[in-house]
Amino acid sequence: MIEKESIYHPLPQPEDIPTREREDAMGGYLMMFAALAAGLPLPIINLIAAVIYFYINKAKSRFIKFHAYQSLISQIPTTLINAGLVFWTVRLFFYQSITFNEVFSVGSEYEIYWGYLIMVLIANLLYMIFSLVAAFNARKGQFFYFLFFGRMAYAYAYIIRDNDDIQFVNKPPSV
Amino acid sequence: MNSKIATELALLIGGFLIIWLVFIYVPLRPKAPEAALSIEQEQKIGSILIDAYLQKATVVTDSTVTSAVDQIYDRLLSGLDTTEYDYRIYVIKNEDINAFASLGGNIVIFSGLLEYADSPEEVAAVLAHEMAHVEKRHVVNKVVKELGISLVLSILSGGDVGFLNQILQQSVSTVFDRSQESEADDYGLELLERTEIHPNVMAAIFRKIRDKYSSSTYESLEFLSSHPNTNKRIKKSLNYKTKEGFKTRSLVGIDWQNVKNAL
Repeated sequence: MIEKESIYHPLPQPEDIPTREREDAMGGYLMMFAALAAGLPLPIINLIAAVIYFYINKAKSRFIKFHAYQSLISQIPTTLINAGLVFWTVRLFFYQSITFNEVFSVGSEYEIYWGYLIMVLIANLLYMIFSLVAAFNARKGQFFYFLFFGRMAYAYAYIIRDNDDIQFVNKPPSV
Repeated sequence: MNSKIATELALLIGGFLIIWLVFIYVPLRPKAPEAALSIEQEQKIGSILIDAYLQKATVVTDSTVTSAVDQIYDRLLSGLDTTEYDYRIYVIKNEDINAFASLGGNIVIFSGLLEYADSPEEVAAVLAHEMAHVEKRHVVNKVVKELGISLVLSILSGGDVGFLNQILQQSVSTVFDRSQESEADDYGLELLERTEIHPNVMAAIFRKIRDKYSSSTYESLEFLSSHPNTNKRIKKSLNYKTKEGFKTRSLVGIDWQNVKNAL
């Protein structure tokens, strides 16, 4: 029986991955924490930082590309729901000028807001825990797959493309 | 691979939606201030407070007035399925067009309101609104929030007279949140409908209060006190959709002119 040809590049093993690559892969997750703090009032800064980091590092190796991409795409929904929370809060307190006490009152119509707030907190907590674990794994030269995002990143970084072997050739200026 | 990606995406989105839903129904948030005081405690404190308040006020005892007010109150009470409050309605001599609910279901109506109202139904509208504040525990919410539970409870143990006056002041001049006012309006309108009094009378009395207190002072005060805009409240009352087959039943046996004369 002939094994079906894989459409993915083979995965490197930890001993194949140089320290430099491991550190760059880890950086993709860790720099989010710095950017997350900066992006708290306006949760878009961290996303911009993630995009920049990804584009700078993706060409270095597939291992780095995988981790940077996983970090980037897992950040998009996190950022969106955080932005939603900021928007909703500003709307409640400034636009509808709800007092702080009203939001706390029992039987008020703000249960949906409270549910969302707690959901966002849980999502951010999970995001941070998973990012940390992934960062440590990357440092050890290992893979760590997030739910959904892990598969997306694997498919993105390791799928075999037709133009994989095409190398860019530098040429002198035309005479 | 693709189907697994889809499954995991669904899991992720579904999981977070479930978390959101769960926390809508199990709200993890600070306890409401009113939860700290039981209704029995509130009623005990309320009776101490109202006694202290009435000592300084002139209570109207004329039977024409009190029986008319009692009749209005009885009608409204019939619209409450169950109530844990033992209401007490007092009429005091005061020119202001006003009424307020204090702790424990003690409601004070100023004689100015009765003089200014054209019908007992208009008084019923105000009373329904005040009863809504009591039923929804807005009064105790405000008092506990402003003064703290320990101060409020200190009355029960025969606390300081200074504190008593402070709490009294607080419970008399309570300014409710905008959402509380609009909740009380909604509840009041429903109560009127249930007791066969046309909810539109609420608009009539609001309009009178608005016109009496000249727009310049009233509107500016209202802005500060975060009341819902009076015009909006009037509109809400006028737009209130009564159920099909709704009929009004007048408060028979009250000669309103007689009541006014007796004041």
